[in-house]
Amino acid sequence: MRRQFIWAVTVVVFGVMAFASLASGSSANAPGNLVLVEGGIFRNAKSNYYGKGVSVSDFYIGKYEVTQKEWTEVMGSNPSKFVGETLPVDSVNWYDAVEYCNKRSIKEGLKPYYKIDKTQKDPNNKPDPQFGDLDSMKWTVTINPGANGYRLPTEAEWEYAAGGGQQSKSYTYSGSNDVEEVAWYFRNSGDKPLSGPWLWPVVQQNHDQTKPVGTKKPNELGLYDMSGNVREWCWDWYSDTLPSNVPDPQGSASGSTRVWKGGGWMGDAFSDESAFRGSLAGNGTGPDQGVRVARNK
Amino acid sequence: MHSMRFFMSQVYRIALFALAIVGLATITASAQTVYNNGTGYNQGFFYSLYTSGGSSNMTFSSQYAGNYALSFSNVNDVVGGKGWNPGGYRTVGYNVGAASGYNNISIYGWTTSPLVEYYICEFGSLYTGNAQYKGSVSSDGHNYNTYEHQQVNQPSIQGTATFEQYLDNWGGSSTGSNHAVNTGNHFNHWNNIGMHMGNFNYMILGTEAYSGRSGYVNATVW
Repeated sequence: MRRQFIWAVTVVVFGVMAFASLASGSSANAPGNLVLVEGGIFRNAKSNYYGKGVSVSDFYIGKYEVTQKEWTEVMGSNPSKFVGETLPVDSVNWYDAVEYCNKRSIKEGLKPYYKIDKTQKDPNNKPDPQFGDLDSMKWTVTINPGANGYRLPTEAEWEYAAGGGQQSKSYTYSGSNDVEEVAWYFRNSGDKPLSGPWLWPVVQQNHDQTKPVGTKKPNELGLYDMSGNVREWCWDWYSDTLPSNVPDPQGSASGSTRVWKGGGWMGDAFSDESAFRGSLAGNGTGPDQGVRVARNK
Repeated sequence: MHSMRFFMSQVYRIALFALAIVGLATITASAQTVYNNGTGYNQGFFYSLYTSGGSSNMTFSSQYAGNYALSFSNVNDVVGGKGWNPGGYRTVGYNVGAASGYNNISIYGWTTSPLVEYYICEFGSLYTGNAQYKGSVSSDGHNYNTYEHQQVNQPSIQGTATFEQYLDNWGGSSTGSNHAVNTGNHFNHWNNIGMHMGNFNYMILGTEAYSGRSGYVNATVW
């Protein structure tokens, strides 16, 4: 009887572990705090790429947004407005983000993914049709496609991972249809819950800010904070149109702003939807702008 | 028979008492007061009150769903109002019964794609010192001066963003009578001069006062 009981418990425990492993993607085989995302076509019916013939290859992506501890260990300084080792780094512009990727790669003995030329103005960095020339930095950044170093996810990769990849349950937000379950955003990131309209003075007065990473429910792949906390830079130039019938899209060849995804503590829930597309000039940033890293498999 | 009549009379009294309690509870629920800071819903309308320095309170009447009475004293900044989500093309009716000490009372809202923050000023005036004058538009019997102002890396409903503010400045409204703002006239005018609107987010009739002012505004929207 006792042996049968032990056997039954063992089966249940292993069963739960196997299920947990399946539900959280393939983090067991991934380096560091990365999760291996199995590629394929988009299964999240709410994705911009759903049914468009777009696919992504296998890749690694950060389980969490880059924390201030991780940032400071690599960069030696911390740009964040809200300071705390387990908080996501904030106030990061796109150039800071690619530089972080390369420096972390070098530190960990990986081949840097980006070629960064700070002296040559990027001819593909065009003036914004509405706002003019906002980006005063315009570093020329190109890629080493075969490198194993850290990089930013492409917009397609980010949306694929946020939408749950092959395990997608077609949630609106990353991991849920209830934004409160998975995201830190303006209503729940301060002293008390806010229920009225978004008004910046109200958000400020409520002391809204970033929260420690990984404190909300993860998505189908075991990724935390893909919706909310800080917005995350993607590699792509922003374009109003998205590609179709293509594997691994990399975005436009040129543009005036870079894509961010996922929404942050400052904004309203709609910007936390996995399909929401935001953009900002490469040198632009704010206290809700952070980064999550990716790597080639 | 007598006892039956007495019984019915007691039932009637108890029913009346219960109705009175329910009615009082209903009035209490809708006639709430918010002090200094608060956001939420009242009788189907969004409301928000923000105060920096000094003090304020906003009371909601149980008689009119869209009513708010805002009192403020020595405020560095106070913003309070009631409105809709989403906003959009509609005739906003309003009646400001009393108004003193304010800087402006305006229709205020946002659109996304493109991201736009807009004001249609009915009382007082908006700060337009660093904005670009874009002509004027006639609506609801008077002229508004139109301005456009670029915000770079500033807070917005989708987080830090670079976006436009559209400002239609009039400010000549009067207290004690019904007025209308046909928002479509403003939106169409802006679109016609290249100031494009996106998808509507919320829209409120808001009161703003700053620089140590004290005053009182009683407004109803519908």
